[in-house]
Amino acid sequence: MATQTRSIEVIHKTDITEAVRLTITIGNLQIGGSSVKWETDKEPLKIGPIYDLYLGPGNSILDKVLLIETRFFDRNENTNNVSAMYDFNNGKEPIHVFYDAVKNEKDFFIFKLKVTFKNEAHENI
Amino acid sequence: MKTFKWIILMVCLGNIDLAKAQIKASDIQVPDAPGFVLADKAPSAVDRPTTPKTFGLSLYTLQQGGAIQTTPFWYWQREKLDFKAFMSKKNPLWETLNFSIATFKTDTSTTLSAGIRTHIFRIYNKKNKAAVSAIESNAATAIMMLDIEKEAEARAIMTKHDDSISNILSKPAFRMEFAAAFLGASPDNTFKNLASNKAGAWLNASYNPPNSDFNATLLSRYIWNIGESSATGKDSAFIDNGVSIAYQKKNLNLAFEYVNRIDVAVKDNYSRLAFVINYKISDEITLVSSFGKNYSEVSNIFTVFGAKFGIAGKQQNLN
Repeated sequence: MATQTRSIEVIHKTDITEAVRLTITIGNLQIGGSSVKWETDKEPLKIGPIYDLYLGPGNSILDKVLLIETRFFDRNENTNNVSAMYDFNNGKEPIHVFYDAVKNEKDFFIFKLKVTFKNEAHENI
Repeated sequence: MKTFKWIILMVCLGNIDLAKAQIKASDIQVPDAPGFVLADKAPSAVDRPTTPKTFGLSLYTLQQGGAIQTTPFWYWQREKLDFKAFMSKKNPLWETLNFSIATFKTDTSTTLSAGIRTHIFRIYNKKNKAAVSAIESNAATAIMMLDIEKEAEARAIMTKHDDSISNILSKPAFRMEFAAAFLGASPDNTFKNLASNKAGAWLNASYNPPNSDFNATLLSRYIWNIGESSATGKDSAFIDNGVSIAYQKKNLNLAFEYVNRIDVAVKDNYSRLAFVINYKISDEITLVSSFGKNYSEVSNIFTVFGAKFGIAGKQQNLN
């Protein structure tokens, strides 16, 4: 099986005074899509391209866990690199960027993110 | 069907002469790998390194005889470069800078051929951008719906999306490309004594009007060969200036090409005129016909008719 999967855990420092929105950018001129769902929900919030997806007010999502699966198809013959930028448009470091590479041309790659929202002032941040 | 009948009529009227099948429909284009075209033989296999490490390994094998084609911009992660950002770049010199290098070794000699190619300027129109955005969005949803365990099936579905995107990316509304190449040979099989004996440079501008199946291309080309002009004893050098107008519709490709050649060594100039037709009968068979006037001053009228048989299932493209 050529598809590689990488699991990633993220703690997002959340500004509780602002609404949280998510935009995912697929880099390296590759094709990619995502599904976004709360851990406690059965149905995803959105499947496909993720642009300015409203997640809720900062204070209402504290300690909640967001599950994001991003799939890539390596269509760029000049590189095997894949990358995704997760921009929560909220907090002091809103962008989380992850990089990897497929082994062979036209392979698939999957990022599985588990994002926990914490108060910006959280001591473990 | 009308078109097909027309082609048959043209064949009947024409002088079928496959021996003169010297017309290249892509003569007005910048070569895809300029480093390979100056050598009279094509490399049997081409390495396409995608990282600095694999590039290093390819350079090592190049010394033994081989070929590489690579775009170093993509060696590093480009996390901000999605389709929208890529299509907004008007001067993608670094993004598209491509190197093609080949070495041919025999027991007694070494030939090195190297070239570069880049896009100096390009613009995608709003329709191009909107089309790619729509396909990208559909592909983003499709990839999440796939049963990724069924790898071949999943790959086939995503390749269709990629083909649609690549087709649009390859035809910006306006593009100016530059390419250059040189070929050197060493008589004693050492790189130390490598001497340049062929060089070329290409400058091409192409225009694809929106909502149209026509496109137009202008090309300037300079080709220099050491000691090849027997008439003067000097090195031969040509400057070609040409124009191509092409029409592409489903199974039919038509192209008109005109090239004016200045022979620098003998201080003369002459021209070539060609009309080329490709008609795809099926995925495997394409009828090809061309007629016109070639560079030489005598016996310069040509008519060519033939068929291309392929197994790739892709129609020959005039562009």
